[in-house]
Amino acid sequence: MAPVKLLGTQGLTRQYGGLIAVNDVDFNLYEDRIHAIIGPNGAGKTTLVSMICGRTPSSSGRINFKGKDITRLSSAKRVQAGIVYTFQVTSIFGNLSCFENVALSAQRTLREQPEGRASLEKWGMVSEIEIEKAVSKYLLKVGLEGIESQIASTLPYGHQKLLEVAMGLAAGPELLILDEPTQGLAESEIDNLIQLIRDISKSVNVLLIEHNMEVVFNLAEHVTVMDNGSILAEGTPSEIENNPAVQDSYLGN
Amino acid sequence: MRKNSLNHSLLFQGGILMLLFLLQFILPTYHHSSVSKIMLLASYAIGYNFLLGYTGLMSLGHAMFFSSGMYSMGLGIYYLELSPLNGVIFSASFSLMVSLIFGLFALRTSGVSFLIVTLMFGQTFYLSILYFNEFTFGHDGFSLAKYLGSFVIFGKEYLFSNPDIRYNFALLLLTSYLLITTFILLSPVGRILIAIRENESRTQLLGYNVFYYKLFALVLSGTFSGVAGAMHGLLFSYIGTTFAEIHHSISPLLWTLLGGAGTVIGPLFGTGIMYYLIDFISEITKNYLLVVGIVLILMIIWFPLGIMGSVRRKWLKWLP
Amino acid sequence: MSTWLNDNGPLLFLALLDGTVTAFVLALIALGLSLVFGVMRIVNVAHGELFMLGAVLSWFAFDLTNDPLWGFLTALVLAPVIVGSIAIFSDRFILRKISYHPESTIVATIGLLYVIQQLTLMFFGPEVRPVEAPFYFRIQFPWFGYSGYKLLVAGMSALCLSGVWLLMKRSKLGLYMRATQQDIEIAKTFGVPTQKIYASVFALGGGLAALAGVLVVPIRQADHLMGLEPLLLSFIVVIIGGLGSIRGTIVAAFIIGISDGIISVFYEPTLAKMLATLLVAMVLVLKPGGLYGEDQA
Ligand SMILES: Nc1ncnc2c1ncn2[C@@H]1O[C@H](COP(=O)(O)OP(=O)(O)OP(=O)(O)O)[C@@H](O)[C@H]1O
Ligand SMILES: [Mg+2]
Repeated sequence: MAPVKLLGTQGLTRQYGGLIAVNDVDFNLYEDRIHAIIGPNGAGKTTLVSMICGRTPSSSGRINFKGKDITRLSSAKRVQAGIVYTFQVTSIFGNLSCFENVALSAQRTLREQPEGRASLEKWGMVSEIEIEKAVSKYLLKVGLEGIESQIASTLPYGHQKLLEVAMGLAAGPELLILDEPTQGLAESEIDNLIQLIRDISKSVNVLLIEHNMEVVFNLAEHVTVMDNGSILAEGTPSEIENNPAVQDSYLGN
Repeated sequence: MRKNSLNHSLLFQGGILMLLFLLQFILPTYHHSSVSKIMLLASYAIGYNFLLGYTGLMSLGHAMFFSSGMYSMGLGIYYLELSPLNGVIFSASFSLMVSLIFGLFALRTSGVSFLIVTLMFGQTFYLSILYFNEFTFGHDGFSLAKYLGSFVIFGKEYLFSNPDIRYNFALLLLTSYLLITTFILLSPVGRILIAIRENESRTQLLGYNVFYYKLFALVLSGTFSGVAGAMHGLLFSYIGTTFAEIHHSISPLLWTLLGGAGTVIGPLFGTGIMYYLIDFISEITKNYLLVVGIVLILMIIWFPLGIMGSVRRKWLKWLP
Repeated sequence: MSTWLNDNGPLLFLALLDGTVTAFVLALIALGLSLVFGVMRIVNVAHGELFMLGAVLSWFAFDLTNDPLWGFLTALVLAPVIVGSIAIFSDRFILRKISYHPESTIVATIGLLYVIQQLTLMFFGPEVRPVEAPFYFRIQFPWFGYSGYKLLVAGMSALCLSGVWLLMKRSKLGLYMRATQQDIEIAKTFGVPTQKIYASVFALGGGLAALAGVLVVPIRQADHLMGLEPLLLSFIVVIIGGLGSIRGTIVAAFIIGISDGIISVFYEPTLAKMLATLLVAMVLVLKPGGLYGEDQA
């Protein structure tokens, strides 16, 4: 069966003053496989996915998601459509508890689910009990169970990134974009995360940005290499590993 | 978790409201009337705080909402011969409309720009009351006493200027504002409002259209302020431009900050303390505004969380 | 049309003259506000009170010397210095303590506004007090005579505006100020003493306002409440001109000053102010960078 295209960009470009962070990129993403973007620092990876999720406006170009043009949709609408981004530099609600952080994300999607809807009829909104259940579920999933009442900013950095992942999951994504999720994690935690991502990818399409090659080659079924704002190469992990241009610019050392 | 918070805060607020209810039987006349006034002004501050404390939007134009409620009620009674009850309903819809229109414009800005836009709109509103003085009675304002008449509760006839009526109507207003705010804040909507205050762009990226929530907070805040203005006009039978001046926009900011922005009950404490502080100082000197200035400066430097904000930090973590 | 001009020509001319004088003074006051906003990224709500202090100090100078000319000259030198020192003091002991946080600064300067205003009320009293102009000289036009002093005010304001312009473009302080305005972190790494620059800019802004107060007081008298109106007008000017842009500030001061003059003469001052505040609110909403400023989101 031919792979189904989930997301595509045409000529997507972002300029910061004189600097072209992303230059005329045609990027395609197909369903049911973990897709990774790699590339040196400043290659434009974060900028590219920021434009896809609507966090950063594009200078020019178009974006398609599930066959629909979403170039002009607001970021909130894109999240509602299922494109969910977890931040490279964590952007959690530092002053609020971990519970509140995940609850914020969960309460929106609960509305669309049967158990949420049952209580919706009574109060016009989702009941707190349903939200609490959902929050525990997602925290457990990322391995942060039992930290509900802790203030988010007091977590170690790696755990803040996991909290981001939990918030991402709770948002009910169809495409989950993980921007360097392993940053700041210990070795053992990375192994758990690999497991988690593999698990997530059974029901959700995952786009992974990662510097840790072990993680990439362990997980990804398709890899895009970016350099200097453009796509340098694409292919399966082994194709990428053996690509001389990629070795030169990135993997070689 | 939230349930706990809700129960605790309802108990806490219920206790304070009960205390206020009982106080009316023991307070001497002077303080009886002071507390009535404090409760009315605190209701205004609670409306103000809904925007500042929970959405993080600082306004310098709330006198516009307060006075739009006050004037629409007063002028409605005067020109349209509305009953007092209909006057208040009219003022609620009028200030709702004013804040909706205002919000659609002003919320395109944020931060300092928002502050200045609110200041400017507030000033425009004030100046238009002066400019259309034939219709609004301009600087002189006017007394409603003649047009209000009396009303009957349990077979007894009352005037709006009756001290007990004043006290209990003000208490009723305060109670309803506290309850409504608490319920909203502890609902999912409240969670989103707080999220906007903490990190607006992140909230947007969780799939919420932040603009609508801010508009909701602003309209609720404006309508609360407007109805507080209408009740003030009704209970003190006076409509005047002092309630539209910039000074009257700064007051709720001061009360809210002192009591603790982002705490439901804080504005009540802030209003009460400032009211009595000024009351006390005006006996010594006419320049009580000097104290307002000093309190503002000292507070913003050393006491930015305000009273209830600090209390929450130290002791009552569940305080909404 | 021509009969209208015949009838109203002199009045229009008068309105234009008055508007020009207003515009120059307004530019001076607004420039202070604009510099402070541009370099320090804060809004000084007490700016109007610094203007008022200039006017009131001028009255004290007049009262002490008992001579209009000497009083004027003394005030011209001393008022900006005194007000500038107050500004430095406020910067050191208030603004620095709250790290120039934009909204806290607004609250703090509102506090400062009340403190200055009420202290003035205590020492100066609630009266509106006239100050004699340093000289009397009327310029005779065919239809009416016009105060020579008013023209001097316009001239001196123009001089000060050019002075500030030169300071910004030519001096080391100006260079530092512009560097800080561009990017404070980079300025710091290049060794710009940003803390001192902040203090100087705040003092300069206050000094300009005080100077405007000294110049204006023989025309419109002194009282402790005179700060609010120029504050609002300079907000309007600074916003229409683009926050932080000198040229925009001056252009906007002329737009506002002259239209205020014309509307006030032919219609009503309240209407003029109402329209101006509404206009500025709409400019801020629809064009956040101001008419002349670069769009800064
Ligand atoms: N807001 C911004 N303003 C100006 N330049 C920016 C901005 N954001 C990114 N850039 C620049 O755009 C280029 C691409 O940055 P981007 O963050 O997309 O790279 P990246 O591939 O994600 O790098 P990393 O691996 O370090 O995360 C960089 O040169 C960066 O300095
Ligand atoms: Mg990146």
